[in-house]
Amino acid sequence: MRHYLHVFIQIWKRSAAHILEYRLNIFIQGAFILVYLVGMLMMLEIIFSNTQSLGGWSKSEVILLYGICGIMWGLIELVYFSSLMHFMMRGVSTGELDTILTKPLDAQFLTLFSYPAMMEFIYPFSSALFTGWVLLTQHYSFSLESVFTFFASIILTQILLLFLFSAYSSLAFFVTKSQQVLRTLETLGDHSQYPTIIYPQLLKLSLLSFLGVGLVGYIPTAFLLQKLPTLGLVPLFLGTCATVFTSRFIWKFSLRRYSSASS
Amino acid sequence: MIEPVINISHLTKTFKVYKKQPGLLGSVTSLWKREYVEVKAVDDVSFTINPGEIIGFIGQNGAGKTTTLKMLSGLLYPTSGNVSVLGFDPWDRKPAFQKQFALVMGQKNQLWWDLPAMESFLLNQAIYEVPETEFRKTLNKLMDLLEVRDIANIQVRKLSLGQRMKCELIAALLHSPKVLFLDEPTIGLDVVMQKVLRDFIKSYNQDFGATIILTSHYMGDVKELCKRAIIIDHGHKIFDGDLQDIIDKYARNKILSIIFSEKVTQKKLTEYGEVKDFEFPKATLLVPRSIATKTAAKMLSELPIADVNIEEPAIEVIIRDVFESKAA
Repeated sequence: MRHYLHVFIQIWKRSAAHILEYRLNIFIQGAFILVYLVGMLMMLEIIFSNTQSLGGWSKSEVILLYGICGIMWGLIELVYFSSLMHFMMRGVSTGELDTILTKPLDAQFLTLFSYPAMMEFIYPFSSALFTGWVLLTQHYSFSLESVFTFFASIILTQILLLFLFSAYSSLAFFVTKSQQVLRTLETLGDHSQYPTIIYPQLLKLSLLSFLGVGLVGYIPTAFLLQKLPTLGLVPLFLGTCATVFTSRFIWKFSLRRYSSASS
Repeated sequence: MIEPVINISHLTKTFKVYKKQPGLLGSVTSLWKREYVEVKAVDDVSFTINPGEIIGFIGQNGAGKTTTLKMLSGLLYPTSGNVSVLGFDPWDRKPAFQKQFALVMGQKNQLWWDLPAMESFLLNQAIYEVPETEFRKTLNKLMDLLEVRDIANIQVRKLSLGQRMKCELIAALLHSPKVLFLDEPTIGLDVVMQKVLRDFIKSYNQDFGATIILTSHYMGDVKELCKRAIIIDHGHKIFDGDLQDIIDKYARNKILSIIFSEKVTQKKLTEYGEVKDFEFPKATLLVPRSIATKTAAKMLSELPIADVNIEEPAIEVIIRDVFESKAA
């Protein structure tokens, strides 16, 4: 574990050094992320100018969901989404995976964390600032139990999503343009900024299961606001274990298909 | 008895390749009907390699050299057969195994493109868990051998191909691997850089006792580094032995290089052998190996010769003849 953490930190240091080579990119990326975040906030204003609640969630609760979702998605984009996209687009088809598969570390770990998108740090950072401001100004009151379930659900959902997206990335061993799957999930991620219960039953179940994006912000926020019982952590825990196990199995099976593009 | 470092037995790798018909019609048809072809990249190959050997792995493009190396390093799963490297099954990808070998491919790189090579070295130190003292000692030694101190802190994308190749080798050797798989390490390099890398590989083998398998299309690499060669053709191993034995087994002719003191006609020379080149006063003849010495003696007694030299044909020529005869 210590070895993996040490390597993770070393990769991050180098990724940070890498983006600092391109200073202008940081400002441009940051500006566009802020435009996106403000745009989504304006959408919320428009929605709540026409209704008092959204699926039983008040405006302040939806704004909190928005902030927490921004932090969670921001972390996903920052930590591993870019790595998975890189791996799916180039690693398998060009044989770049060779250098990862010969390293004395779990290959799935390296494909997940080799290319963090350091430019995306503005996304979770600005979302965290916004969420902090919302928590300070909206006078929420949370019990110890709800805070505990909130943090527990964040850890479980992040692990679940990590391995769910990794399982999807295994498609790269079978399909050349498999990165479209992750791109679609990323686009669907916008739906996670609204309470998942507002969607039709089939879409709701999909977002909370094999699509996964409904888990990003809705589940942790629902635990924090005590809209879900504490016992809800049990199926979440079991779902996470099942996803991790399935993802590892799919990864090991898919590696056998790797043909390592010719030099 | 020495335990072999590498032991492969009846190794086979088959790829299923989709064969597309050309044109738009072919593309549309392929939506529901596809023709697949099975390509045997490696077919029933067996050999063993002892510690400290440098083996030249020779073959034409598509012969199966790189596929074999990739199975030895655990990148590819074999279709059938057994492989053991340092006592491990490569495709188990156990960290204990991966810390003992290195794979360097001349056409792929592992260095971070936009950062100095030193950053990649430090990352590899972390990945391979090389202790700091050992890392600094090995790094300094390698940097001195390859003379890259001046460029280690320059972005990799700004380095020349030769400089990048040197840094790739260093990155691959920082953990002092016992086994090296070098896949065309000198490809695209100029003759000076090729010599530098060959000298380095030789001294690395001598200093560290590493076992090395080298594939290369440059026979200079093989001749200078390898005592033993394995020739692979269309996935089959057709030769495994000393480099000198290739000449004894496959060379049909010897080369007579002659300098004449007086004029002779080309027609006269054809009585002694096949005339490859003739421009007075020099001539080059190909003569069957079994009678080369006798022919030379006969020519010396019958013709006005100032100097004669009997040579073996270049290994490249012999191997080319081997492949061409197999193709025919």
